[in-house]
Amino acid sequence: MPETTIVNITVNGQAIQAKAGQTVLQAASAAGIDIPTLCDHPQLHSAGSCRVCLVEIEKQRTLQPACTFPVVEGLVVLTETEKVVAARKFSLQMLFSERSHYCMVCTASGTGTTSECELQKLAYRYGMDCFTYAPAWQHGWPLDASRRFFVMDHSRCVLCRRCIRACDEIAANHTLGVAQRGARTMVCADDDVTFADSSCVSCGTCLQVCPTGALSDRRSAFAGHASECKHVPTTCMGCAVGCGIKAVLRGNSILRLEGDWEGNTGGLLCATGRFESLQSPAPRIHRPMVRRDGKLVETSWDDAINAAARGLGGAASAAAFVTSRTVNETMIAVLEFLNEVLKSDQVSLLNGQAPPTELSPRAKLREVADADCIVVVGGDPIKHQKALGYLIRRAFDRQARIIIIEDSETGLDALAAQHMRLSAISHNGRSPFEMLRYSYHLSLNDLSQFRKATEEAQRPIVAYGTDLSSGVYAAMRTLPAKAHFLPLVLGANSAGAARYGIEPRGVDADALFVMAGDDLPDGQPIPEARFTVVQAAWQSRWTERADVVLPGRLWHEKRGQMVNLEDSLRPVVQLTEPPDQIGADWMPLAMMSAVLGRPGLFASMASVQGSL
Amino acid sequence: MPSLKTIAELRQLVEAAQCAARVRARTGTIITIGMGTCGIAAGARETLAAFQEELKRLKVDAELASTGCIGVCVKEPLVDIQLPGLSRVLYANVGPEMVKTLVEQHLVGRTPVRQWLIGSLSSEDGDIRAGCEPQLRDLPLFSKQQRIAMRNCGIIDPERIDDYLGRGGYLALARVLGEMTSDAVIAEMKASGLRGRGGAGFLTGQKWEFCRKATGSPKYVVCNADEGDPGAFMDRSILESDPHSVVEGMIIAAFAIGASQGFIYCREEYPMAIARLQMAIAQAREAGLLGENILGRGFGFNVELKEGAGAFVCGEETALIASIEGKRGEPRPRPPFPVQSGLWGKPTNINNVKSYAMTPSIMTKGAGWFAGIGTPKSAGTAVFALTGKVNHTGLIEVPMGIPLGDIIFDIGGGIPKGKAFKAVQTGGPLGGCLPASCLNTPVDFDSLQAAGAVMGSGGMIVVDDDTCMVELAKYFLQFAAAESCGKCVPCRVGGQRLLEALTRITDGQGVRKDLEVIREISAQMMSNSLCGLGQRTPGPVMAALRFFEEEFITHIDEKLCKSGQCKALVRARCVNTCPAGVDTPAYLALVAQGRFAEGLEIHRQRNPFAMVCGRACPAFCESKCRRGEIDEPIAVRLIKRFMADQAYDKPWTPPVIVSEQEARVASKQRVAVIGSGPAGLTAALRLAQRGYRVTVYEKMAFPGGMMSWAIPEYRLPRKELFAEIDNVRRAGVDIQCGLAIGKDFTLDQLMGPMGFAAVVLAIGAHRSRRLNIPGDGMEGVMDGIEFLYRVAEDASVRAMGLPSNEALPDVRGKRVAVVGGGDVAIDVARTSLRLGAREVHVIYRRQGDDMPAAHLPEEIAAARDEGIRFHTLVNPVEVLGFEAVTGIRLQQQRLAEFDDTARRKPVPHGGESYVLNCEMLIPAIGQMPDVTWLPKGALQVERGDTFTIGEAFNTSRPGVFAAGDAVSGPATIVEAVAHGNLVAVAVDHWVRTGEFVKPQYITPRVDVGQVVDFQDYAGVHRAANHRLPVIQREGSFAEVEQGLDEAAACQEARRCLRCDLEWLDLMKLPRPPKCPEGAKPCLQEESAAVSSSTEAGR
Repeated sequence: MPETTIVNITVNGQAIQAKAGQTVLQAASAAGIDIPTLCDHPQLHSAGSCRVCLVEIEKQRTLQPACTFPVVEGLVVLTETEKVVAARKFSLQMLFSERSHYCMVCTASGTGTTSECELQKLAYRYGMDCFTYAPAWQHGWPLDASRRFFVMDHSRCVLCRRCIRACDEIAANHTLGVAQRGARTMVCADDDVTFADSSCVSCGTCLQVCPTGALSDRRSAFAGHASECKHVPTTCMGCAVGCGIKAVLRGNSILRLEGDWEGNTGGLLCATGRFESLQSPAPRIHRPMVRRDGKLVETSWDDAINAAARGLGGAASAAAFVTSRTVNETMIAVLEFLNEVLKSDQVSLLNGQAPPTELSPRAKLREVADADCIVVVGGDPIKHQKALGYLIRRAFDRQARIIIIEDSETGLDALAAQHMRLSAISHNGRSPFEMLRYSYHLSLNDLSQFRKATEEAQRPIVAYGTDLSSGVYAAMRTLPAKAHFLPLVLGANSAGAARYGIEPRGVDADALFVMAGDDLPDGQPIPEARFTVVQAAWQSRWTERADVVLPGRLWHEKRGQMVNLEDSLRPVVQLTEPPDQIGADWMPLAMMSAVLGRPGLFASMASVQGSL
Repeated sequence: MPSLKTIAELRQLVEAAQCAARVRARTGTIITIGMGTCGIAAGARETLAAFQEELKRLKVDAELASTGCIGVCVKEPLVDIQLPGLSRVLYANVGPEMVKTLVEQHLVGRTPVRQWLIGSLSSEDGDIRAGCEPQLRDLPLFSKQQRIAMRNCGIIDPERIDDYLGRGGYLALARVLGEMTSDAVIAEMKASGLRGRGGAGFLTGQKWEFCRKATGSPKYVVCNADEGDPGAFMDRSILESDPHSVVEGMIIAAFAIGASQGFIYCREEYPMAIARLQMAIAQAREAGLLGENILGRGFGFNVELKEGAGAFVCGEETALIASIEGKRGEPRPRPPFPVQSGLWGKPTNINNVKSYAMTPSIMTKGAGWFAGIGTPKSAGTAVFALTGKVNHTGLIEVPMGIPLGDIIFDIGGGIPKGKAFKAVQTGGPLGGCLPASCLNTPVDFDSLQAAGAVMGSGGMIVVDDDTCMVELAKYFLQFAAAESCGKCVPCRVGGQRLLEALTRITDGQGVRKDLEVIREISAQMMSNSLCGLGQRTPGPVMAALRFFEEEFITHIDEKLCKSGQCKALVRARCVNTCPAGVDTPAYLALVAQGRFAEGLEIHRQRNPFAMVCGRACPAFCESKCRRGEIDEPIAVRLIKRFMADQAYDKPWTPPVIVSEQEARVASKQRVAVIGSGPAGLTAALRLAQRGYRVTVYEKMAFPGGMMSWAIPEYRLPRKELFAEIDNVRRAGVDIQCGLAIGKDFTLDQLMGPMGFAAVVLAIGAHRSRRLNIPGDGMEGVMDGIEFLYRVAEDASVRAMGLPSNEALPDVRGKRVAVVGGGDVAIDVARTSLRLGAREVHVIYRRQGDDMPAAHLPEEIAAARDEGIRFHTLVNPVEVLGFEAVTGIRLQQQRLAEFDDTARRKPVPHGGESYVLNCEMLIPAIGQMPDVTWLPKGALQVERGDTFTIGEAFNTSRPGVFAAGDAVSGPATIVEAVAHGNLVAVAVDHWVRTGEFVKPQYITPRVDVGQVVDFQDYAGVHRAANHRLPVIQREGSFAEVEQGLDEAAACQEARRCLRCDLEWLDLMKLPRPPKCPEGAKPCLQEESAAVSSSTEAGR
């Protein structure tokens, strides 16, 4: 990379330095000079369409948009002259006359600088206190409420097209576009169908960039002004991508989750992370329960703990299942409890699996979109690691060559320049879950093509899944050093579990402890046992058959760390307090340990939590 | 064709093709048919088939060839016939039915068919003789043209590369590849001064240089063939008629720039252009002129055709790029410019079709040759699609700098149907209109822009006075707003708001503030929009506002669209255009039912002089009649005359039109009217009808003003005139003749001791302008008005049954020369003849068509019929004679620049002059009000001595009003009547309230039901206007026009298309019931109060 050239420009008489290639807007904002804009967004390519950032530039015949005008040596810019302000006001007046910007009933409205609506903020800034041109309130603009988590209200749309660019450039989903021309221009999904009927994946990226209340989250609509909110960075526990999140909190409630622009996926989230992880999929368990006369009945914590401890401690053999959807700290606690108290080493991972992790170097998610060749072997990121899938699609948009090696359909097939088939080999042994187990193999010819593709590329990335044959893994170890790897880890924190040797395995025990957390049964069976304790947040098949049910916390009620598929340790921040004083995951374990004669085993747990 | 490997091979091939073309011209019999889109639309395929059949039938050995468009689209299908050794003879509008004659006479008989031919297409080398006279290049249509981009259009067969080669095609490429470096090509291009013909006018050579110097690879060359202006088809025609010139230009550009790939972006609505381009590209590729290693020079270039879906904005280069890339065609901000970062981020050079088509000629003939054409800052030629209200619509190519008027009036042949030029829109829907005052503007990039329009890509739409400039601006705005891509706010929303403001105005809902709104939005759009489309969208509106603001204001203030186009404002075009607003369709409908008296009553509400106007009105209504667009206009004047004459012996006592109470109050006031012409009498009548006591003072011996003192009896018999003046008397008006203001009484006396509350000055314009040449005071020189006075006095005396006073001017046996071209001049001339003049000559300084009297073409025709001789383009410079006139020296004139009336100014032509012998010279070159009686400074007057008035016809002295010719200068009777109506309302208002208010003369709208079926009168022609045979007119003042009989008048009235009923539908108002013929109750009268809300519709 050549060293960035520095150019000297003057903005409002102030001499500033800018990097060649920057726009006037970028250079000014880096120097702390505020030029307002409506259509521009730091994460998106500039469009120059709203004409709010128009500035006067010496030697230019007309006003120029700061968001697209490149800096050159000696450029002289004026950002708030009478002419500029008149032009900005005109654009605002035009926008207010175009649709129904009836701020009193808008989800994004606020007052003054605290408004979440950028249009409203600008109107305050430029002293717009009346409608210069009659607004089109009576026009009747459509409202698309076909989506479960958000609505599109065209009356509030300013046609800045940030949503379209976000859908194209960030989510790489290309659902949104523009229909019609002139005054009839509308944002539309696919061929002007409803969002629900379109290819929209509800990733919600468009909501996050919308400057007005046109695209709004159903959950947080009307739930409070920006001034009353806290924005807390944390990590999504939806899958192994572990996207960086900025949670928008008001008191003890989460208004909504937004992608963290500074995060590992650059603000990208999927429907699971942004919306579903705040849903209640089943009734919450608030109180401990024990089985009496064949029925689960609510009881006190002491009673339940005693019953659980007796049952587990009295069994001939004990085993534990721990969900991948929890933090490292919980996994350690379960391991400790099993090893130290129940004297068992049977701890199995629930709903998750990590492929061999020693392939290196590990790729960073930030690199994915810039890769020029991506090989996906034995997995479907679009299904299981959605944000990664979107990043791969983004790479495809930037001309990357996509190679898919799988035996079934994947969500990326349409992008594949080359498609190779894996062949299944059945193993003689029985699987841990009493099922026939397969591993997947690739022919020598295909392997050599695989190698050739990575050799030809400049920045190849190999995303590989579980259950590949040892031959395939071995072949991957010999790929050229420029190839970076990403394991397609299944389950949110399976990689973390793997660090502690927890992986899916067969267990055989009289008593079971299931640390389900806010996980739900997902196909993987839990074997029958004579006595079962389930610690869970939601009622489910697991809790139905348990002998003792202990309330558990949701992911955002936990505090700790997780390991994502980049192999980086990511903080999980407690965002809300759980109801009914439901304790941290390790608390019941500590109480049971005490009953079973090992008080103090988790005494240091609270301090451990931060240090891991 | 073999693939060419070297430049020498190409040169050989061209020579062979040129040789073959020469042989073909010397030995071949070739019939060439124009098969452009225009030709085929006009039926060229049928003509071709007819030729095939006819040649077969007569066993004539001739080659049938096809060609593109030569530009004279109005004359399609065009056929040219070439006999061996003779040049091509071009025939216009050749339908299949003409083919037999052409083949028999021209091909077999070797005699061109004179009446159908336009001229012969002169060949460049001398060995081919002209096929016939005239040569095309000598015709005004072609003589001012110069063809570079269109050099082969309509001459070669666009589908044959051999034809192109035969005209020296691809020799430019041979020169460029063989002798020049890229830098030399760019230098040549820059030296030529060619500016981009897409409209922006950026120096093409400079653009090439920027692109060449830009870093990035590959580089692209793009041809912008996304021609989207309504009414423009220059690019299409060139692509259809000469695709190879564009391909050759692109190859040269690619070589200069270092590009390896080219795209032609052509809209899919041009299927023939696309097909021929593809054919040309394939032929060039086959010949090795496209592809790898062209002509062995190590330079490779390919061209691909991309079809656009027809979005206007895709003509904008960044939007075009997006479209080629497969994205939505929307522009993006520049910089970076396409030459730096264009298609797929690579350096891209985009030029218009015409720029590429001109390139080969520049390379073969040299930059100096090109730079020598046109103006220093706009070199070369410009191609225009000339359309609209102009006789020769089609494509033209003219040297830059040619005056706009030359294009419209010489090449374009002027405005059809004798209508007046109003404006020309250049630059398409983003351009601007220019009025008559800009006809001398040189057509080049900078001059047009300075004038308020733009060059654009070459659309030129001419409009006549039937066009409403507000509506026209709205039309273009509607187009531009609909074609806005919707990306940037100023264009997307501003265009819409602008359109709404204009729609309010054309709907009659406009207010003055809308003009401010329009100006504000326009200014912001122009400075803030992202691309040229948004920046230029307000162009037409701004230009219209700049030159035709009055028209906007008339729409807003008076709810009047003078050109009769704004539907909501125009109930019927005849009513709309009548100065007095007479409800023509209502009385026509009543006449159609035989209800003459009711019809006359409606007429008299707005114009009391029906018998007079039935004879001496220029009938503005007829000039705008919609029936006239189908066949001939309704003979409104003749119907009116018949209707009015039915009441000749039924004296009319005009009714009081206000309440008894109001009339009682008004009767306490006296108003004086000075002058008893149509304005004065009408004002007096309307005031009397409002209850005032009115006295009219007339300085002459009889009332009537110009009606009785100027219009000769053969046009307006005195019997009918006096009958109508008597009607005014019956309303209670006291007409006192022989009393002159300034002599018998003064203004101060009127307003003081004589006790008048108000005075209306309707003194007309009676003072003649003088020739101001040596000898104009000589015996035998008599002023035209004076002449007519003396004749009229005699007529009036006789009409009153008194003996003739024998004071007639003595012209018997004399040669009379009349100077001037107005009504007075023609009246004098025809009267002289009737008084026994030996010869009568009319001398006029311009062309006959320019005569003011031409608004009554029947008058001029009648004068010619009677033997009057016209001398045009001459100006008297000296009256000859010793004591009495013996002749007049006439200086030859030529027409130079245009004046504000779209007529060329006459200027002396060399020293040429001649003498016209005459014994009597009568100048009739215009009149002005006689204000010599007025104490200096008593009232404010304009240059030309007309009174300065306010909105309420108020002069500078309170209580003194003015109307008629004294305000407007010499005009017509009906205009004077309109003034009379209005000034009466203004006086009434002032007397009652002391306020000056712009008057509105409101009468109830009358809807008359339809009794006949249009279909029965669809084929009926306009009633003939029977005239006295010329032989009977000699020495007689008998009325020339004979009028209609009852059957003819009723039938003629039934030809009316009843626009007024359609308007009711449009306004969602109820139609009067349709009732059977002869039934009575078909009248539906709106009260004045109700109709004032719909007064908008006239």
